[in-house]
Amino acid sequence: MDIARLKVDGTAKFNLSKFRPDDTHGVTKSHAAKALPAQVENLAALHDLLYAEHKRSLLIVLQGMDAAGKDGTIKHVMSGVNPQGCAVTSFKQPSTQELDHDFLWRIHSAVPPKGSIGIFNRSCYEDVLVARVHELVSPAVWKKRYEQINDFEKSLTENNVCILKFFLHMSSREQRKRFDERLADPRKNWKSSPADFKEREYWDQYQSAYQDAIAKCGTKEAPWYVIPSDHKWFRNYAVAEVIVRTLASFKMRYPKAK
Amino acid sequence: MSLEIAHREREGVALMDLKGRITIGDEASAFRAAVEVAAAEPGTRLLLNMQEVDYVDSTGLGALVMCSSRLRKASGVAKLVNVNRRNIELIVMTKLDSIFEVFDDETDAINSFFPGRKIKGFDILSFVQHMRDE
Repeated sequence: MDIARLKVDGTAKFNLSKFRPDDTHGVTKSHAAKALPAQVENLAALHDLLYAEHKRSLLIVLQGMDAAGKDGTIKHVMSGVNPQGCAVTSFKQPSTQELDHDFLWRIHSAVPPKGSIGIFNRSCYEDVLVARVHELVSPAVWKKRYEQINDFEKSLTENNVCILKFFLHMSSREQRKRFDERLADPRKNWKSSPADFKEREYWDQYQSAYQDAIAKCGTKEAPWYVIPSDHKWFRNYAVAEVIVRTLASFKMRYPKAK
Repeated sequence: MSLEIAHREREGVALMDLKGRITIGDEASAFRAAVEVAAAEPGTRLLLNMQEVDYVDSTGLGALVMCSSRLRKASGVAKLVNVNRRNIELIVMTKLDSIFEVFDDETDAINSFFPGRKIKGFDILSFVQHMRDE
């Protein structure tokens, strides 16, 4: 699979509607079923190197509509990673204290230290998504945030934080299917919340907000990857491929004993 | 279309008798349109009679949540009455009981819109527990 086809880094005009949520880029389910466990192992080995080398960190940002599979991706792709050098931070509705600071404050404090992988389940992008869709701040405020995010991410990459941002791109139809499955399956009932059903009513507004967030903040320093996510197996496979290939490109070496 | 919506009024409270399914497609659209009409007047008090609603899917639940927030935005309120056993379980499971007051008696539901009137109320969680114990 050519992962460059998933990448959005500002070099070409971006149009979300041209990306099909059910695309599998010629990869078969059986190939992915064999490749994913191998990539999970590779990821564990590369993470060990990252930890040992202690020169840089990896920040993985996961964004997507409800039920797109942010939790599932973490569970399946990161299953081999040593918990000692990996932290998942879920950014939910900001607390009063967080609201008293600039919107990047809580994000910055969760950035992974050298040698570690940090996974953001949602992120500062909520401040140009939910904040925009629900008019939590004025357009003048959220419009400035794209540049503020770009500056912030540039500063992180200049300080050896590698940033990979994944948009788990799912169709409205697939989301409805997954919501209905949650209602039908007692093991998944607990995942349902009124907020999910309410947010679904704003589907089109969210797609427009994602279009802008990805187009304006897909940079060479911190690219977005648009991951077709209607098929869970492809989503997991594609995310693992991007992470492993990125870590492998660092050409890391174990440090010599002192 | 398998959703019928009949309109009534009791003591200034707008009532919608819903019959059929609130599901994706024409049904949810018709329900949303009816809510829009009701919410056009600020301060609308709306009671949804769910007695003959036999099925609600995730899109229908979305329409119900939207109904509540749409009315609140217009300084109104929506409540539910006569929800069948299956839909009560659905409401509890999806935590919609946190945004809707639910009643098992229409007069009681109407009275709840008037502060000072006595109501017997309906404890949805006890009801569900009782159903599970049966």
